[in-house]
Amino acid sequence: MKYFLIGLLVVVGFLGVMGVSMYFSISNQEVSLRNEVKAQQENLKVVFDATWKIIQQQANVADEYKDAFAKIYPALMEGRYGNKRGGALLSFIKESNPEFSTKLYEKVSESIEAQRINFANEQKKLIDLKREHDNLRQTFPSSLVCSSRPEIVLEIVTSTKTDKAFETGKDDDVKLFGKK
Amino acid sequence: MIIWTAMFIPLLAIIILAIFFNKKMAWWEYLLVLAVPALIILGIKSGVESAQVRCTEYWGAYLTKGAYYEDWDEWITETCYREVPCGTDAHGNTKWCSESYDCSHSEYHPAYWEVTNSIGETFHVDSAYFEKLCKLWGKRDFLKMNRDYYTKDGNAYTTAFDSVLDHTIPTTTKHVYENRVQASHSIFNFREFKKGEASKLGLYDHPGIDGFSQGSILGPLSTDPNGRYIEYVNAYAGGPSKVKVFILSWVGKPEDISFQQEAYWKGGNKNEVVVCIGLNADKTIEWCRVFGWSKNEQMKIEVRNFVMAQINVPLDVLAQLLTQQFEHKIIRRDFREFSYLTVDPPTTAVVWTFILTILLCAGLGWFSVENEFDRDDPSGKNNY
Repeated sequence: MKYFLIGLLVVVGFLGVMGVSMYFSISNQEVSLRNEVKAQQENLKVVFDATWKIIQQQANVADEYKDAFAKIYPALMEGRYGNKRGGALLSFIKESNPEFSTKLYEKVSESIEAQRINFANEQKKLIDLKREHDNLRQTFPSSLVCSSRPEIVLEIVTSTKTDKAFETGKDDDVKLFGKK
Repeated sequence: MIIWTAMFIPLLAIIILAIFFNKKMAWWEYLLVLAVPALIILGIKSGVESAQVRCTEYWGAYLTKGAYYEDWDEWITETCYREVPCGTDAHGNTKWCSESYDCSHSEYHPAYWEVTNSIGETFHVDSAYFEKLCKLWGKRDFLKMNRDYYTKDGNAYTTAFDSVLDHTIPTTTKHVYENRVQASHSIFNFREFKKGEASKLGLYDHPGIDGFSQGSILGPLSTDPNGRYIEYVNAYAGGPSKVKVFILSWVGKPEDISFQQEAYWKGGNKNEVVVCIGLNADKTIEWCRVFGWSKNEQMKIEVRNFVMAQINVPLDVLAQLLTQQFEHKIIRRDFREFSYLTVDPPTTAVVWTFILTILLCAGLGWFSVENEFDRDDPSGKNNY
């Protein structure tokens, strides 16, 4: 009986060590993913600032127009009508800086396009981090540890137009053949 | 994670052994049945995962020097030991003693030729290649080796790159890195291609390395003599920024093929900038798209816009632009940023792990029951 108890203790001990180390590993992974999502969310603000600085420096737009820029930013990042000549970006620049030479516009639009791709990639990473976090919460065996932990709520930047398109399932504003 | 559920098998085995073969089981045998499968599962998981995330990138560089080392020999002074019979013991058995002896000998070192590139990698070449290099670079210097030789004094001849652009000899070497994206369910990953699908679509594989050279231009543009300038970009930018450019070209294909190519190459390697160019039948440019993992999107846009502003592809001018774009910039993506990605082993690996664990537990269980170690005699002393 004594040896049986020793055997039982050894097995329980081994399983205990495995279980505890697995618990801490999964738990830490969950916390680190949550923190990474927070950091990534902040990173998106950095991209916004970088885009604003490009507009400021390359198009000489004054600080006071930052709020107005924030309004066109989601549409700009979606590339819906931001970068084309006569689009929202050029109108915004012209309104904020009437002296702006349209010759410089190619350079600004190139920079904005680069920022748009960066922004899309950063936003994609944010979604990917959440996917990883959801998997951890919902799949076995990690769900044993963190199924009760709260879901991460993302702040995705989209334009009202996109939200509406997803809500209604319609996006009638796409101009396939240029001007109507 | 799912692979760890195979640990239920040894747990089940322990319960069965404890219920039905309680008397036959020594306490430590339970640990054996539990720990061995755990270690095997861990080994399989690590092995499969490292194979899944293993990826090869190509580093460009250029030859900077070559050397020919003549054959030579040296005298090695050495003392050896051997066992020799030295009488018999009380039972008449032969006694063996250690004896030293002089086993000095001459050692021959054959001639060899090698070249070194700008990132310090060396390649063995033959004598003809070395002589060709000396002729190209206009240099063949004698180098006294001052060796402590036996009968044959071998010296060396060296040559060095003369810094003439057209005398550049690009090199490409393979380097392994961890790519978790390709093995994950990440939204950064791309779709899988069926066997033969890529060639049917007209997609390219990464070109192989012949000796130490690899072509960087694929498709109709590969015959353009100015293509060598793109090879020079890889050679010169490859060292400091580890960047690798590929120019892929197609005639009469829509831009969609570049997206297919991107998916087929899983976005390319972390150091690659892939310039895809669509040509019309008369070789004029129809479209251009640049992909790669680099975070420098501005560079990709500028390269694309430059190509799109041309009628034909001036590879020499494009090479200049690429060189400017890569200067003092980080192009190569740090894939450690994807370390958050979980890599699940493929279903076949999970199934085999389960099969192996079942067989292992059955074997260990049988061994534990059949051997001389029992519950009341865990050290097996009483059976002797």
